[in-house]
Amino acid sequence: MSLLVALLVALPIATAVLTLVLWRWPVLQRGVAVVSSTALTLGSIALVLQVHATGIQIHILSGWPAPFGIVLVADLLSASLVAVSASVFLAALVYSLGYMPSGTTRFSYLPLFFFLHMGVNGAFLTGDLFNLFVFFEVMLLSIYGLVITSERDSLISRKEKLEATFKYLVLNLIGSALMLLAIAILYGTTGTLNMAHLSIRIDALRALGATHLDLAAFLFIVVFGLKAAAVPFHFWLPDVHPSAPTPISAVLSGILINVGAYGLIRLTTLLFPGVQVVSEVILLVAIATLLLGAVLALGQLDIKRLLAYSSISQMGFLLLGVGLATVQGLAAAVFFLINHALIKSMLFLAAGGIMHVTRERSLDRMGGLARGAPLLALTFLIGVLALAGLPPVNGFISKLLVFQALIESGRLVYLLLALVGAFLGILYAFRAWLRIFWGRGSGGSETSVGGRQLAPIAALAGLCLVFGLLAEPLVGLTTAIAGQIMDPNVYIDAVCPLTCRS
Amino acid sequence: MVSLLVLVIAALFAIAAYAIRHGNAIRMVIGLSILANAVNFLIISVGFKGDVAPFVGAAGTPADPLVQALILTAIVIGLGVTAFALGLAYVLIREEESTEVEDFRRLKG
Amino acid sequence: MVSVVARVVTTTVLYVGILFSISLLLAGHNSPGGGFIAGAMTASAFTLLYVVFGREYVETRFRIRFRSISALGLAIAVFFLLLPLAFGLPLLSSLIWTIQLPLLGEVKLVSAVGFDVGIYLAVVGAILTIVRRSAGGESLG
Repeated sequence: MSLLVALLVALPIATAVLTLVLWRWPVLQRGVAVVSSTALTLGSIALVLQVHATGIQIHILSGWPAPFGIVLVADLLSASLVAVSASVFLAALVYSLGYMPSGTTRFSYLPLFFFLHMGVNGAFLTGDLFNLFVFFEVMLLSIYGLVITSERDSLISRKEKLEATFKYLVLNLIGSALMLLAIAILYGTTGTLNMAHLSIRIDALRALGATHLDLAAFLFIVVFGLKAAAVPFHFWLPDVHPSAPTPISAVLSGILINVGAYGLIRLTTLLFPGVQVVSEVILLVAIATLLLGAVLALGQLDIKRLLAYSSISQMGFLLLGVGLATVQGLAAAVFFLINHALIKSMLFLAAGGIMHVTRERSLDRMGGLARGAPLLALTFLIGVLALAGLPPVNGFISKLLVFQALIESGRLVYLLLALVGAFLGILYAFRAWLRIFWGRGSGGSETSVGGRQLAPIAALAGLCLVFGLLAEPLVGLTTAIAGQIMDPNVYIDAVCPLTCRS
Repeated sequence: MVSLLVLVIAALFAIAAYAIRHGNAIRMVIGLSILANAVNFLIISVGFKGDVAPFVGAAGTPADPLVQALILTAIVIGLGVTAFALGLAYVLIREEESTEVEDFRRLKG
Repeated sequence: MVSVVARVVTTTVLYVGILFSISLLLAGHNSPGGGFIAGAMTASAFTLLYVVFGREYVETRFRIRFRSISALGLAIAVFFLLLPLAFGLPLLSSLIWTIQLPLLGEVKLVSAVGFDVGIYLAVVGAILTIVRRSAGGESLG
C-alpha cells in the first residue's frame, strides 16, 4: 500500500475544490495552486524513484483487494508519465498566472485546471478499465471548460473557440460510447474489469479461439487513436489545440495526446500482448499519421496550427515504436512520449509569447523578431531542433531510437517512410523559425512578456537540452520501463498475485 | 426478454445514428445522448443472465449487480456531459444565428 | 398566469420530493438511493418550480447561491474522500463509528453518508446553476 500513489490522485482534486472555495481571495487561491502543483511534481518524481528502487506500488481503494475493487497501480511507465505531466502542468500553471486575466481564473480556470490534472494522473495510475473511462471523462469535461475560457487580449475569437469545443465534444461523445461498447464486450466475455485480471483471462480465452475479443481491441484502437490524434481521427486536433488559451494548448499538446498513446501502450503490452494484427494496424496508422501530419504542417501559416499539425506528425513516430512491440520499440516510444511532452509544451508556451509580442498569428506577417526577443528566439530554436530531430537536443535521441528500433526489427519500408517524414519535419520546423525570427519585419520586444511567462519556457527548454546532452540516464530508465511492460506477468504479480491466477 | 432488449438496443442505435447525421446542432446532442443510452442498455444486457433482479428471487439466475453500478456511473457522466453539450449548443446557436452544423464554417481541416 | 392545478401540484411535489430525496440520501449507503439520485430528485423539484412559476417569482422567494452550494458540496465530498487517509486506511474507505446516545440507544455513524451529503449538495447546486442560467433566455425564432 503506497500512500504516495493515493496522494497523487487525491491532492489535485483537493486543490481543485480548495481553489473553488477560495475564489474570493485570488492571491491565496493562486498561492495554493502553485504550492500544490510543486508538491505534485516533487511527489511524482519521488514516486518514480520509489518504484525504481522497490518495484510496482499499488493503492487498494476502499480496501477491496484487486479483482473486486479498484486498484491504483504505479509501475515505472505510469510513474514516469505522471512525473512528466506534473512538470508540464507546473510550467503551464506558472505561465498562466501572468497570462490569464484574474476575472476568469477565479471561478473556473484554476479549479478546472486541477480537475484536468486529477483526470490525467488518474488515467495513468488506475488499474481498472472502467475507472480509466471515468478518468477520461473527467479529463474531457475539464478540457471543454478550459478551451472556451477566454484569455487576456485573445487573438482567437469566441466563435472559433465554441466551434472547436463543439467539434471536440461531439467526437469524444462518440468515442466514449465506443469505449463503453468495448468495455461491455470485454466484461461480457471475461467477467472482470481489472486490467491485470483481464490480461490473464483474455490470454486464456484467445488461446481457446475467442477471436471476437479482437473486436474490442480494434474499438480500443479507435478510442485511444482518437485521443492520440492518429489518422484518420486527427482532424479535431488542429482546431482544438490552437483555440485553447496558450497554457492549455501546451497541456493539451504536451500531455493529453500522450494519454491516448499510453492507452495504446497498455493495450499492446498488457491487454493484448503479442497479437500480431493489433500491432500491424497500429504500425499502418502510425506511418499514415506521421506523413500526413508532416505534409499538412508544411502548408500552415498560423503558428499554433503549425505546431498542432507537427504534434500529429510526432505522434506518428511515437506510435511506430508502440506498433513494433519490441523492447527497443517500446523504449523508443516511451522516450519519445516523455520528450515530446517537454518539447511541445515549451513550443506552445513560446508561441504564446511570440503572439503576445507580435499581436499576430500568421507567419506571413511576422519576421525579424530575433533582435527584439533573443530569449524567445533561443528557446524556439531549441524546440525547432527537437522537432526536426537534430542534435544536440532530446528530439534527436528520440528519433534515433525509433529508427534504431525499426532497423532492428527489419522494417525497412517503414524506416524509409519515417525518414521522409523526418525530412519534412526539418522543413516545416525551420520554415517556422526563419519566418518568425529572421527576414524583414517590424519585430518587437519581448520585454512586454513577463518573467512568469519566460521562466517556464526557459525551464522546459533547459530540460530539452539536458535530456539531449545527457540522455544516458533517461535512456536507461526508458529501457527499464520497456523491459517491465513487455512482460505482463510483472504487472499481474504486483496487482493480484493470488486471486487473479486461481 | 433478452431478445426484446436486443431490439430496443438496435432501435436506439438506429435513432441515434439518424439524429447525429441530421446536421442540426440540438438534434445532434439529443442523438448523442440517445447513443449513450443505447450503450447503457447494451451493458445492462451483458449482465442479464436471467429474468430476476439481483439478490432478489433466489430461485432464478440472479443478474450481475456490477453492470448496474457501471451504468449508474455512465448515466451520471452522461448527465454532466449532456448538460454541458446543450449549454454549448445553445450559446453556439445564438452566436452563429443558425442551428445547422453546416453553417459553422470557421473551422478548416 | 399559473393555473391552480399547476400551482397546487408544484408546491405539493416540492415538499414531497425534497422529503423523499432526503430519505433516499440517508438510505443511500446500503439500500437503494444515494447522493446523486437524491440530488437529482431535489433539483428536479426545484426545476419544476422554475418551469411553472418562472425565474423572477422563484428568485424573489429563494435567495440561494447555487454555485456556492455546489462548491460546498464538493468540499464536503472531498473531505470525506480524504478522511480515511488520516486513519491510515485506503482512500474512499467507509469509516464506521458506533456510539451510545441517551434515549436513542446505539447509533451507527458512517462516513459514506457524509460523502453522499457532499455529492447531494454538489448535484443540486450544479443542476440548478445550469437551469438558472438557461431559464429566462429569449428563444431563437
